[in-house]
Amino acid sequence: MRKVYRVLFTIIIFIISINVFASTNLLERNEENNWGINKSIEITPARLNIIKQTKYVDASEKIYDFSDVLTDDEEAEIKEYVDKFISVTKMDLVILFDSVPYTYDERNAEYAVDFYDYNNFGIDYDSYSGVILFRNTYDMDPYYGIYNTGIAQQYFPEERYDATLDKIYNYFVNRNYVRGIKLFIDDFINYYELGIPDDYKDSYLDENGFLIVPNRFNPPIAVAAIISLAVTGITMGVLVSKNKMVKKLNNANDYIDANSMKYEHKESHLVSSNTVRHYHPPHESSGGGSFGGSSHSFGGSSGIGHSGGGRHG
Amino acid sequence: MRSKALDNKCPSCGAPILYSATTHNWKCDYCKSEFTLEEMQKYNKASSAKNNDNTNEAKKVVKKDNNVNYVTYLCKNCNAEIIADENTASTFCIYCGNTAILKEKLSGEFAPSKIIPFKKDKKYAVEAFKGLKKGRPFIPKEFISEKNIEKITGVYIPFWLYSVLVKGGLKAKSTHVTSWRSGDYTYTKTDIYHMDSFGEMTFTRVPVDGSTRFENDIMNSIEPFDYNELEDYNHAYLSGFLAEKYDINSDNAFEDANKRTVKSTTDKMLHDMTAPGVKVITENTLAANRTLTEYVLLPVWLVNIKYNGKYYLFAMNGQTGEFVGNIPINVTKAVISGILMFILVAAFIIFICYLGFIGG
Repeated sequence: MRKVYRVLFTIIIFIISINVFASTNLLERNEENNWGINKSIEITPARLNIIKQTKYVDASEKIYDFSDVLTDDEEAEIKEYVDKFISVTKMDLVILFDSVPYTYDERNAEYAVDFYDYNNFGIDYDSYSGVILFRNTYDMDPYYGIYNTGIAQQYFPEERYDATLDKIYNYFVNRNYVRGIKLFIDDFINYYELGIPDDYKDSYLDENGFLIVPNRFNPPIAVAAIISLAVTGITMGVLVSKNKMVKKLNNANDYIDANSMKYEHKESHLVSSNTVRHYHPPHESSGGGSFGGSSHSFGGSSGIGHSGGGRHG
Repeated sequence: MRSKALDNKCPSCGAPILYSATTHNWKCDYCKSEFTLEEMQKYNKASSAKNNDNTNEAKKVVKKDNNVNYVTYLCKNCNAEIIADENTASTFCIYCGNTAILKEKLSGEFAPSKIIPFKKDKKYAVEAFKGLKKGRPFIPKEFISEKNIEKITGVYIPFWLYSVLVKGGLKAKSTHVTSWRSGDYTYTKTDIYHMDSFGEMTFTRVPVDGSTRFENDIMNSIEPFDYNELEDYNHAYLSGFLAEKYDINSDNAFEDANKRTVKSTTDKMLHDMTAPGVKVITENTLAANRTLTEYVLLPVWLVNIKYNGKYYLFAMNGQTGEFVGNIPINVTKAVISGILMFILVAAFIIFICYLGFIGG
């Protein structure tokens, strides 16, 4: 009997231990549900392939842990923060954990925004506004990134999401996801409350949700001042010098008798000639460096504009 | 001792007569008669005995004030006293306006051999002075005023003319560096040349002003004079103008001609040295020797203007019309103009950049 209890206890513990990790339910895409697309996205044959490959989920869950790194409690704790964000900002927020064999930033970004675009995220908000935090738990090259859609691109531009990515770096590297995600959400709520940064006040979203930031004219004051100073200095110098008509005359060239120069002797000879050579080793080619940074918007396969960036680690 | 001043009288009516820079004749303002140099010489010769006698008999009084000796003369026309300093050779009687030529200042060792008569009259000088305003925005408004313009006076300035032979040797060194690249090496070749020349060059009639009253730089700046128009000296040319006698003797004045002629010869010899590179003189034995010294009077229009407590001397070559002098600057005007220009140029540059910006 004792043995039976022991076995039952072990089974219960096993079941409990399995349930600690949150499960994520996948839905099925088919023609009847328009492949799960309820956004104004034209489903072209090329795009359909990507849509089919993109996981179809219940958009209300908000936290999708395909890597099974969060416990139910942790998910619940994060969900509270997510709900708070949505309530304050009137924008969607998605937390995605998955392990995909991508090592390039661009591929990670495409995966994250396709997940956002081909599910019903942000569907209740203008321009499908929202934010997705994607953690790629791929062992070979772990990565995490934050990507914005709709007006989130105006509220959380590069300067802001970059700062947050840096702030949460240590938490993500050390797998302390709850604290990292909470810090990210706090940061973004704080940014939202600060409003759209001055540099993006004139920005707008085009019909595809791409963030357009009109170029601002920055007057080249320093250059103008230097050129102006030089022009003014030269002009003033010329004008002032016109008032100085008296010149120091130290020669008598006007009074030289024509052809009066006569030489008794005139010699010129080379007394020394010396040549030295210096060796210049060929220059090593300094290979082109890569330039980081994000454009104001990039397009996912859906054609909807997003902005964002990430970190390896 | 007081001496009588010599003047030029109209052979026709006996009134004072003046030399006309435009017609190069003597014109009487009273009877409108006009006389050539020959006619004036003929008339003066006839009356010279009387003039000379009067001059010899006249008394001259020398007064000393602030270390300057003043001499008084009797005006030949009205017998009034004319006060002049020791170097003045020709002046005006302040009572009758008659030209007073102080003959003793222009005779003996002070007798000029030649003179270039004025070719530009006062009207021309006045217009030239007024013309200084053109293209000079910072000239003080009150500087070129009628009051100042009226002070323009024609003066015969004493000049020494030196004909000079400069002879001697010049040694120089030059370093010529060339550089070229071949493969991974840069080659630098340094050639050193020694040059040695000995020669001579001559100069004719290098002018040096013989009066300490006038700054050398100003007198040099109105050069050159056209010596083809040098005439034998005649007192008659002084009518209507002031004149000075030299107070720097020919030996002392030669120092300036010496420097200038040696400099010109040095430059010429250096130029003729054919070695490439920057030449550095290592030995210069060039020396100037006078071959001829002449004492002449040259025509200059002068005006001395006081501005902000400082005197500014302007001179115009009475033969060529070359006007020189340092014009004071209206500092307030210059500063405001500079600031405005700075702002306008900067605004213009920014505007051009803005046009480029909106034009894509």
